[in-house]
Amino acid sequence: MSLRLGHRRFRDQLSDYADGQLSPRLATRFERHLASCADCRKELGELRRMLELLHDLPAAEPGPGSVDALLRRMAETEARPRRWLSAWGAPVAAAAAGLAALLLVQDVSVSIGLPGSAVRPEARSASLVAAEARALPRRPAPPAPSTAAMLGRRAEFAPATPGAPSGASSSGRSALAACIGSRDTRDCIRYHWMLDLAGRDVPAFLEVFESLPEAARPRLAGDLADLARGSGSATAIADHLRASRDPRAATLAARFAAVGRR
Amino acid sequence: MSEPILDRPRPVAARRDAALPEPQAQDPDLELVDRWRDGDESAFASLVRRHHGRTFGLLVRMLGSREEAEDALQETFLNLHRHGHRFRREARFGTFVYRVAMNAALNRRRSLGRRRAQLERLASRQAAGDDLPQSPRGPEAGVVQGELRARVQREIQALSPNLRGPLVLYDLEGLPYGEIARVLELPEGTVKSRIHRARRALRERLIDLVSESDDESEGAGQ
Repeated sequence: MSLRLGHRRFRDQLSDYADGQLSPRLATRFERHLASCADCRKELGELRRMLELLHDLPAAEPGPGSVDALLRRMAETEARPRRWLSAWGAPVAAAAAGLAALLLVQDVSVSIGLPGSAVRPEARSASLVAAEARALPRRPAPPAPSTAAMLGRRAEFAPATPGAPSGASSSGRSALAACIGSRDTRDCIRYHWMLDLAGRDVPAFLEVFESLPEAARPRLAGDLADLARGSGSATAIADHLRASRDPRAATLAARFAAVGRR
Repeated sequence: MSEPILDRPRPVAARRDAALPEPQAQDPDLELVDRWRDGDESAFASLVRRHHGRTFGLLVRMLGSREEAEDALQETFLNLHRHGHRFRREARFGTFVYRVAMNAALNRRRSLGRRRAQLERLASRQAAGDDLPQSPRGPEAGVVQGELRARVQREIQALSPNLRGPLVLYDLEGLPYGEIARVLELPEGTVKSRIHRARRALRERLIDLVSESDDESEGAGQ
């Protein structure tokens, strides 16, 4: 073996030697070479100093409460209607998470026999939201007020007043089933959530409605009104919108009232 | 006889093996994984709680930024949630989490784009040239320790992903070769060789900090 070749072989062992991974026999042989090779001694010294620098790097610890924030963001992202997100923004996405949790936890989707595997992605997402809603401590101040307001109402999704429209009521359930038979499942869930919100909290409903691009609003209003008519709640929603005395609600109230009279 | 010979390194393998149980040993996460697969989402939340700290540390090392690590952490657990059914019991669940996290980190780096990479290289060069002293001997002699660490972290980021991953897992996370091979889905020999290459590359990048002066070098050889 040439001297150079021998040096190269020992040089390849530097890292193992520094880690104490050479057998005693190889380590002794390596040390013999080291005694006569300035290059390897220099390289070993540099390697050791470099390892010291590496080991001196402090461990990166996540901030306090970060796991709760992570789980909350995940729950929101998993339930987020991605196609809608671009048009509707985060408040709707967050609220849709709440709706999906409510509807799916109540097993609505299972009762209407949606196709899919035993554990569908939507169901997993929604149940993650629900599990987190149970497991996480309530946070008083999530980032955006509108999001906070809607998320805060997650536990109150049961109909507030008799006759008020609700995605979770029995009539809402059958309307949802009919809706799902003719439309995209996610759209139906979102529509029902909108109707539920319109029946309980007009300002929040208007906030979500007006977060949509203006061009998309007439069609959505028409869809919502038709759906409300199908579940027999169009007139009740119209009355509720009027009772709010919010000028922004007048046109929508008229639309719901019109389909309710048909 | 020079100092390195007298100070023969103690094996670190035992420490590494003690830190991480053998894959064949009972995986402490299996019960939670089974419950999650049976539909208990709170079990998944518990798995996130159990692994998020360690995974966050890995991602900070890989990405060099807490903000990016937080995004990649979310991506990691979202991917786990969506594709957790791909987890086979050949490796521990913790290893699987690391594998998903490494993929998230590498995908994230790729998506940063060329301009971002150029800016990072520029910042790295500027920092190396302007912020640090020429003398390798002196963190105590004037360099703020935070700057020194930032420099080391930057040079780790500058390594190619193929080398950075094994180096981070071995030298910073303390995983043994076998575990790294399972995380990166590479043969153990390849892992070992990449660690050695990564160390050599990093040493060269940090040469101004780790090389001895000529005088000291001469002295050490005598």
